[in-house]
Amino acid sequence: MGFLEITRKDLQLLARDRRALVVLVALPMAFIGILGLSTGRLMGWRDDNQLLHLGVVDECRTTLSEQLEERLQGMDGLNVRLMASRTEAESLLADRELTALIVIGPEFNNRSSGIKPREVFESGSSRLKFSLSDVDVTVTCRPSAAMARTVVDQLVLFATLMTVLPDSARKAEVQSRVRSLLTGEDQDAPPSGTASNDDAATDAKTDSPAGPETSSAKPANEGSPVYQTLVPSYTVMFAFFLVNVMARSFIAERELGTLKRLRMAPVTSVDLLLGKTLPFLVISLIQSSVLFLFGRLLFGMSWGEQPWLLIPIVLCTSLAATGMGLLIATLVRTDSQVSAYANFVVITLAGISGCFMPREWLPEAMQTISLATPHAWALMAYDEALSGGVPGTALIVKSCLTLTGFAVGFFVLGCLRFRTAD
Amino acid sequence: MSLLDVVDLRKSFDSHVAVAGLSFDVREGEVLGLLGPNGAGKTTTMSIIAGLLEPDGGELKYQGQAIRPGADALRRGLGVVPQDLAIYPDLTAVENLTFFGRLYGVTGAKLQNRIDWVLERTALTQQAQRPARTFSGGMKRRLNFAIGLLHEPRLVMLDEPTVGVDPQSRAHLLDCVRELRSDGVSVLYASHYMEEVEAVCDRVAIIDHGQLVASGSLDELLAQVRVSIRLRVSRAEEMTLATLRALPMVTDIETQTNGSADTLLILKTSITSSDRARLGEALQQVLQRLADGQVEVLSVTTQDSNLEQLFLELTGRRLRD
Repeated sequence: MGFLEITRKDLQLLARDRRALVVLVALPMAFIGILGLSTGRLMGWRDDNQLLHLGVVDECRTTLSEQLEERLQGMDGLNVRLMASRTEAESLLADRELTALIVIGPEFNNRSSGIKPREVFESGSSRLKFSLSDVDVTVTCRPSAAMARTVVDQLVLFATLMTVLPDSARKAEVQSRVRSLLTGEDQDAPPSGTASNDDAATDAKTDSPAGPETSSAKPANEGSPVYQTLVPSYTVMFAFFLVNVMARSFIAERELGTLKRLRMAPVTSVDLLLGKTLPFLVISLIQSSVLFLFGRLLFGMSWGEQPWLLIPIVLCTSLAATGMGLLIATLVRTDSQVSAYANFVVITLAGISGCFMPREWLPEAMQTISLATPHAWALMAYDEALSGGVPGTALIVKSCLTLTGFAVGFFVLGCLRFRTAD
Repeated sequence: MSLLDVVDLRKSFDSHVAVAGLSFDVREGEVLGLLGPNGAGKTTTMSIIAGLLEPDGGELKYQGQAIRPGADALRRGLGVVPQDLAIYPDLTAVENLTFFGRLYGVTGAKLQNRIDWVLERTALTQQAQRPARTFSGGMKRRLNFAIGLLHEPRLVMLDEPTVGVDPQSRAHLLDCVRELRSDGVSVLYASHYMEEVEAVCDRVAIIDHGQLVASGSLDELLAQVRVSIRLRVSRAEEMTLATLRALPMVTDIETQTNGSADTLLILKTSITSSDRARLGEALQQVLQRLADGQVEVLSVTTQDSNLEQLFLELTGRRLRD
């Protein structure tokens, strides 16, 4: 049981290096806090700068055109200002106070009255043959807001269709087909419950193409979307950041000459490496637990429907991280090598796997490649456990087994390397 | 009786041969000096015995039984004091000792007794609770030494234990080695300091380029040293030197003038220091030849024999080269 003595000694040494311990927990916390504040809106937060500012000029002035105005005003992510004249609106657009200008022309009411759902799509397909000009609605964007133009066009088109189509049941059909066009969802999927509700048509938020994704009403178990992503991402990244500390611990042991002394003692190589690894497993578990605890207490994140599922994920992620730490510790010989190789490996793998941004933002090929990293499996497991609904345990079990496989593989390679190199 | 036999040990690093068929034995309760210059193969030999290196060939026998280098029984019987310090600076002396003691399976009251004993032996009792990083160089060396003794090893291997140590700590460490011998512990003492080996070792194995060049007790080895006769003379003409060279026991003559009027003649002879009778006879003949040449002899000395001389004779180079 020599490994327990080595573990005890290393924990004793780590406990005396309180600055390092604080950094191991405080650094990820600071990262999560700072990145949450700076990139939060990319992941779902909205502030005034993030809204699309639309000016609407109603030259028709009928009940139907007013309904369109109301619908636009109710859409999430839009700041709609009703303007008295086109001249005034164009002036604001030129002054960059508006992102886009929507003009509801005088023929809007007349042209809209005869529109039927079957006329919206080409027969036998989901392809739209309807355009805003058909109902005398024009959209003008600032030339510098080319990307916003696409979004505004889609939102106005959707709002217009939902306004001009006569029957609410057909609206639901159109809504479903339009959503499938705009988001690429399966058009055969049934329309959402809110859309099938007759009265829902008046609820612009639930009618919007962004649908539930942009809804401000969250399920009870859904935390802040920013920290639901950031906390697990940085917990994974910093779990693997321990690779640095582990490698430096090995180097220190070599430089102190104590590694030789340990190798001369009646303990096996496996005992020695196990003894050197376990303290960092403990640190990793503490680090991850503290980050999730603070994620909940400080950032309001949710632990998902079944919080106990986080335990095996944290454990298996820490196992994989310390296994990788051991392998790298046996590969590097100097502090410079730790800085060069360990940091490169840790940061590259974090980047590939999706620790820096939500995995779904990664290109599909990169998502596939990232499955070669333990980080990706940990992130997938966390994503499943922390998602709003009931988590699928199959994916979590598969991820945990894969992470354990990584851990065992790294440990065996580390042992082989230690025996031949040291 | 031999505690450890090293038989035809061989080890190379790529094309460099570090140990080339080295054989020696360490007997029960003796201090064996492993003497050789830096790079002679002392540390490599000890590393193989300690299980840190795999030998390319050769055999180890522990208590008469062939044993694999690094075998558990050998590790438990060995106390190694490495050449470089191998202590944890952030742990106290007691914590360092406790950790290594437990690693060797010493626990409980026995561990406490052993810690007290080694601290006393190495004069570190007063510093027991201080972190090792606050120690002087000599105190760190003594703690390094103490760790090697903690588990009551039967054979202690000391690799250059006094390098960089102040004279006081050096004297203390040498005293400790003598005490170990008196306790019946065998010691393999590797050093390139001839004086230390002469001071504490019962037997000496002289190695160079990974090979044994001589071994035996100190007296046996010193008896092999050939005596040099040093004469300060008024003049040293070539004819005089030729008559001296003609003497059968003279193997070489070196002259040194040092800018003064007289000359120092160093006559290297084939006479060993143990052969006192022949030496007296040779001295008489030398003085007679000088008198015949009307050379005035100002002083005569014979050089004391030591291991440095022996090493020089055997290898053609100095221990500290």
